[in-house]
Amino acid sequence: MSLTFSTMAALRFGTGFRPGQIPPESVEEMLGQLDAGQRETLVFPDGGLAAGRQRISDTVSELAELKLAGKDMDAVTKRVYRVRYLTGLNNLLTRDEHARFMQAVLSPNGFNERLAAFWVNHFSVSTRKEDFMRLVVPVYEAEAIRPNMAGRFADLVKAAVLHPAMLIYLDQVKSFGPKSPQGIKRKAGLNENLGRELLELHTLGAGSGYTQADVRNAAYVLTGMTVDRNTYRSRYAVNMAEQGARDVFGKIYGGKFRGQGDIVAMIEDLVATPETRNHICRKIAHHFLSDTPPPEVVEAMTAAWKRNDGELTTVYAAMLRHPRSWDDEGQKAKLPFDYIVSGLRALSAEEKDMSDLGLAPVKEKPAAAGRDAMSTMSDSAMSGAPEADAALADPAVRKLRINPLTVQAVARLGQPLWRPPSPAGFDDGFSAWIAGGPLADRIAWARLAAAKLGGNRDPRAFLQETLRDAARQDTIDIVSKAPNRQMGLALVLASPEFNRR
Amino acid sequence: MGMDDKMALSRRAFLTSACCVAAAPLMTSMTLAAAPGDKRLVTIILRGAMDGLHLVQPYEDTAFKLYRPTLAATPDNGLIDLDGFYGLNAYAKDLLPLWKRGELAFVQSVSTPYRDARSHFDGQDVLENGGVSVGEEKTGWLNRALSTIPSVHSRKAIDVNTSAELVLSGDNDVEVWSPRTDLAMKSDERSFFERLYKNDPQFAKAMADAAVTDFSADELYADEKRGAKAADVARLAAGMLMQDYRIASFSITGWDTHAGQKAAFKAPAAELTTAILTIRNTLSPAVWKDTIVVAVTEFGRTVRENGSFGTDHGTGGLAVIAGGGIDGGKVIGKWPGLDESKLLNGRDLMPTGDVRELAAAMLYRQFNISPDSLTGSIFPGLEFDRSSVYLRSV
Repeated sequence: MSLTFSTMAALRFGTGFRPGQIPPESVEEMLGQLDAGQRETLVFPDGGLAAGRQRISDTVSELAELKLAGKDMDAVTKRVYRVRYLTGLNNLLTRDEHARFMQAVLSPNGFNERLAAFWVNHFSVSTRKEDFMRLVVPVYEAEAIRPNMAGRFADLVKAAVLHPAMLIYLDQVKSFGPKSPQGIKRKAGLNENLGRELLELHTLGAGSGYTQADVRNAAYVLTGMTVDRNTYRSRYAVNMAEQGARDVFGKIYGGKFRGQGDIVAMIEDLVATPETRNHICRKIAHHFLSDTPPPEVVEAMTAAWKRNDGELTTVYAAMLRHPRSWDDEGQKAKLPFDYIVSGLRALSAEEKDMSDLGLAPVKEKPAAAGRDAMSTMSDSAMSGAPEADAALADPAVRKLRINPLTVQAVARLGQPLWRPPSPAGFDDGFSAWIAGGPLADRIAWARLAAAKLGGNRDPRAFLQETLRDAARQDTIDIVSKAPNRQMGLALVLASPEFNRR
Repeated sequence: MGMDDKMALSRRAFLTSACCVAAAPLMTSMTLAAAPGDKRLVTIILRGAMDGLHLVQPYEDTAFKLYRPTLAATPDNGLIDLDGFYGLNAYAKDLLPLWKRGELAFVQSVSTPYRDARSHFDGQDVLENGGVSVGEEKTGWLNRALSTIPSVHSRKAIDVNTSAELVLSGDNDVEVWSPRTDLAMKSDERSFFERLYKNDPQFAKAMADAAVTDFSADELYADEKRGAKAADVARLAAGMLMQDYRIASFSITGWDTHAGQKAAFKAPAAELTTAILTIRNTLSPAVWKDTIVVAVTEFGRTVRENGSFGTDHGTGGLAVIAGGGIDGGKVIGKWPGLDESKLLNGRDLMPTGDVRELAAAMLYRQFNISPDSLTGSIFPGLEFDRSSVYLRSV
């Protein structure tokens, strides 16, 4: 090991040093963060998980009332109400996004936080898929991902893949057994999306030997899984399910009757394959260690998986206990979210520094905001919210202003929160993030953060607290020669050691 | 002094300026010259589903006015006649000189293979992944195309955006740069960052790349405020094509005109117009001759206007092609007609062409990518060969 244990634990496996928090000194303490994380009260969804769930029910009622009232409205008024409704939804999401940053920045359980971000990216969903996803995605992370990431992988797959967020995101709600009663009635058929991603992304992995027939049959087995649109809970609708036996990756599901048990059995079988454990263990090692992780670490992880029925804690432990996991620091680049989180931790950011900035003032033409050519998936393009002329001066349409250090910054740096570019999630490779444009944006963030939160810190002390023995001599020299404090702090946050892990 | 001369001069000034001395050794292998004869391609993604029937209106089709009593225009009330059948929306009138010179063409009723669900999210996914269905490909077709371009130095692409768009995402390296990205430092400050990265080759290379792109951007913007509007984005994209980039991509949003379309169409139509004209004006005449701009959208909109004087999500849409060397001044692609029986599901313009074939034709024309690659890794399952209508007609 070239660096001290606690430095490697904080930088490579954690969310960075935060003054006042003591980093773990042993593998046992790191694994202890998983238990501690389960007991932690999450800062998001805003107001807690129950509040997040309540907002979903409230919005279902609100929408129903709106639809009822809409019968007596002319088209333009209807549009005004819809814009108000969507702005309200966007504002609720904005609050959750700000709270999500607070969770990562304030939590003392860095390894647990890193795993949450990893698994959310593995089981990607997007808040832009449809309106309600703005409320469902934060709840998904809190109730499907986090409680299951220290248990059996099969249970995590079940919780994530069968959650309403995933069923909506990957179109399972649109999939009908073509010969099921509902399929016949609606003349609707199979949608393969979730079946395909279950094999390709979530379990076996691309190129692992499954066929198009496996994809199709997995989709048949999944028929019946849908979402109750009144409660936004998952539901099994037998009248949507295709009957008959289906062969997926060499195993047969169903027969005379089809039921939810077939889906559970299929997931268990897929997870028990060597293909899945190789895919998942390699992906974890790729995330934490290197774009080309040492094969012996991956082998230790798959062996632990096999011995312990995919119990993830033992897989993490196998990685953490392998000496090669502690070699060659700094091979990975922090993803933008982790970069910002670790920067804010270094600067001891408090809740108030990370909150939204209140409602925007009433503007004459709020429509302009939706036409920002820079946003890949603009609000207007994604929400179906038009800029109705009559709504332009509507005082009820006021957007929450987004914090430039957190939610806005992470989008600018290329990793908009809960909005991956595809079901494969965000790229996790070094070259995607350390390139001209992205580096210039990181430098800009480092300067902004230093200006806003730097205060009168001494850059040399800041470097010592923030990188400890990971700071290289040339970085120490240049920081100590900085022309002013702010520049010195920005140099620390922009340094290669601070961007690497 | 022509654009080429200006660029050459400023390039010299750039290389000798104090701020760049540290970065210069790392840049010697780069081709800074915009070599003549090099083809370029710009793709513009029109996000939100552009109503092609509103941009280019088939005013001579008698049914058109019946479907769109408040939206349809005629040459008597503002529409600009193009060819006696189609007319151009007045908000795009500044494109008319290009049309007259044959540097602009429209492609009628194209679509991706995406059908019947009409979600922006999924429609854009298919448009960008280049496959037949949602999520079929995890990378973008333009990224996959890069490594199949025979001429290695034509493989340099830039995504003018804050985060990589799917169309240019994938295994091949692509620069991502937003007009708002700005090193914005005095040279002494910048030298601190250059020294900070000096001993880390990967960071030093990224910083050198940033310095080059930033310099080009600074030159384009001078002291102007950096906006994120289409004009800023287009200017940056074209400026990069004058340097050693050969492919650029960006987006224009705001097309989701469900209500009050007449007014709502103005802003995005003006942005598209400005973007195309800005590209043309930023490029030298010689480079404009070697450039093709192709603007595509995830799907078209309903033939009928709705109760809020707008249109809803449809299928068949319109693509726009511009470039100094095209044989334009025409609307190509088969017009499916507006007879109720000719509409898809009784509501949408029937697609008569695959937008992927159009994209394949432009890639073939500009970069000589083999049809095998175009129908293999880039657009899996597409039918395309050298006899494509999109190669013959523009």
